Amino acid sequence: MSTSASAREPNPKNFVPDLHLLGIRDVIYKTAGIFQRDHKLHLLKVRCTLRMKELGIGLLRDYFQYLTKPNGQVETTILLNGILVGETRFFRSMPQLDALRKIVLPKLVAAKSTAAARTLKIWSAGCSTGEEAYTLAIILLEASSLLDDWTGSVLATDLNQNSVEHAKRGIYGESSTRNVPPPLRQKYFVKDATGLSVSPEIRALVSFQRLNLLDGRPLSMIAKTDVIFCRNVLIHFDMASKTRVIEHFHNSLSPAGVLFLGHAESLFGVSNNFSLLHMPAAIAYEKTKTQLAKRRLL
Amino acid sequence: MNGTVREQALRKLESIENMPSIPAILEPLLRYLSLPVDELQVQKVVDMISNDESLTVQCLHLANSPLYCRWQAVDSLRGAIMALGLGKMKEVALACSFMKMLPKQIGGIDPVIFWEHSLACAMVSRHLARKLSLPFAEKAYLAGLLHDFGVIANVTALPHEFAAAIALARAKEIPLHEAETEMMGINHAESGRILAELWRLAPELIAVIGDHHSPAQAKTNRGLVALVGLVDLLCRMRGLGYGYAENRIVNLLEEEAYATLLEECPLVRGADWTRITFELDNYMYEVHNLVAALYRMQ
Repeated sequence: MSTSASAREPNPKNFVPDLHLLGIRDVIYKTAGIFQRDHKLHLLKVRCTLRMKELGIGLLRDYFQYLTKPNGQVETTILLNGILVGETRFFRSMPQLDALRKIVLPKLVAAKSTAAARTLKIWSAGCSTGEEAYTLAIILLEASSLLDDWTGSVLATDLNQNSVEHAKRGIYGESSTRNVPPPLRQKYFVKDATGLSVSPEIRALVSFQRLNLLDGRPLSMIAKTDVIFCRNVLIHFDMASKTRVIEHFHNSLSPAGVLFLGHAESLFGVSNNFSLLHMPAAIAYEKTKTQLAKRRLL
Repeated sequence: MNGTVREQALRKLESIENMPSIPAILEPLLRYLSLPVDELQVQKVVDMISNDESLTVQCLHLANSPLYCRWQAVDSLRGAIMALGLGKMKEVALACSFMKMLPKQIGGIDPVIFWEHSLACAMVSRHLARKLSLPFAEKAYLAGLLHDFGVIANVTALPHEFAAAIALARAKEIPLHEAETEMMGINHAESGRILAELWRLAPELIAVIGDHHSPAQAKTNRGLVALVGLVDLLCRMRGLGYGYAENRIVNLLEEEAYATLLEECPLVRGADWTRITFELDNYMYEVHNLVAALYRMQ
């Protein structure tokens, strides 16, 4: 079974998590929905120490109390921004992409087989500079045997206009394309003086828009989405805003639609309208409650 | 189902000379360790383990691992008991004893991977039982460790048929017990019950071994059986299975094991399964390294 590389990343030897550090992990989970696994706790401690220095706080216990104060959500977000990898790259989080390719797409095709329109729509919400959106488009094209007479499309949105412009240009460096398997790199990228340019075939599937996820009107226009990827975006919202965004996602998903969050993100306490799904080494949330005790998709 | 195949398999399993016998040193140790912790005597545990040098070395290695003791190194069995407490030392001894029972070859399954699955199920079952305040938390560890006992019976009594079942499971990416039923007319839960009764294991262990894939049918210890069944499934979906991915979607809340657990233990309702999944991932790295190291010591 494929295992996420991060899950096997070693702890530094003899790292003993302080009880207050475990408390901070709980605060982060409750306020931001992000769970720091044990092997990342030493990084959390480093980041806490940095923040404590900046704030003039000496003890982890005091910083824990600072985070639990009424305004602690702001500090939690600052803390998390330093922990989460801001970098976006092609083919990030392979277990989720494998689950999409091997399980979710066949499931959607089966569920929509009697629909009048044979279309599949994926939304990359919080697409940053576009790597995830183009990756999803590549996956759609590579699933041509499954999606032979289907029309696939990717909607990619981000709040940041500069990121959207960057994404539209579709030119990337070695760093962000390092995970692209060589045959796909050859097939879907063109090398020029400025970097690797995404092929017209891929660009044709993706449309980029600047969009604020809290802006209800444009969001209500996004409908019949089959899959949403919204990775590590919700941490920037407080609970009320997060609940609104998730409600918009729920409304925009097709009946069998699936939502993927970041690999450590949870909807627990935010919405009860989704079912948690386990797929090999990946989890996702399904809009509708499933009918059968167990479903096999082979 | 092919009745003849099933009858042939049952005949082989019910013939005592085809079945493995319990290693002589383990029988008294397992019987003694099955007593409640407050009835155990430290010196007697030390004496029994010390009879087997390799068991002693493995116990010390496990006791020093981050999974059990993060704070201080121990270099004697008595020291390990003082540092870990008799309850944890009992778990360590049980885990090492179980490893000694395993054949060197398990059909097409790498014994290291099989042991990883068993140890992970033991640790997660205990963790979950405690977290959810289930009344059988003290029994959950051993039940998780031994739930796939039937694999030992199959490897010994039905080696060729079992190897073919594993190959089928891997090729079709389906659960092992389904492939066994398809190939042999019987699965490791049924054969496990036969061997467990032959070895006169405790009634709750026989129930878990025999019913963890059909917990609704369990006549006794239904909560414990369902818990281990659910943990087994969760481990298989998170990369701690038998070395291959089962290509399917699982909604835990629609599983027979969950429904049974909920009937027996209503406190389970409302549990945060996303977080439980992330917590399970915490064990992955430690279990993987620990088992590899212990296996090399055999």
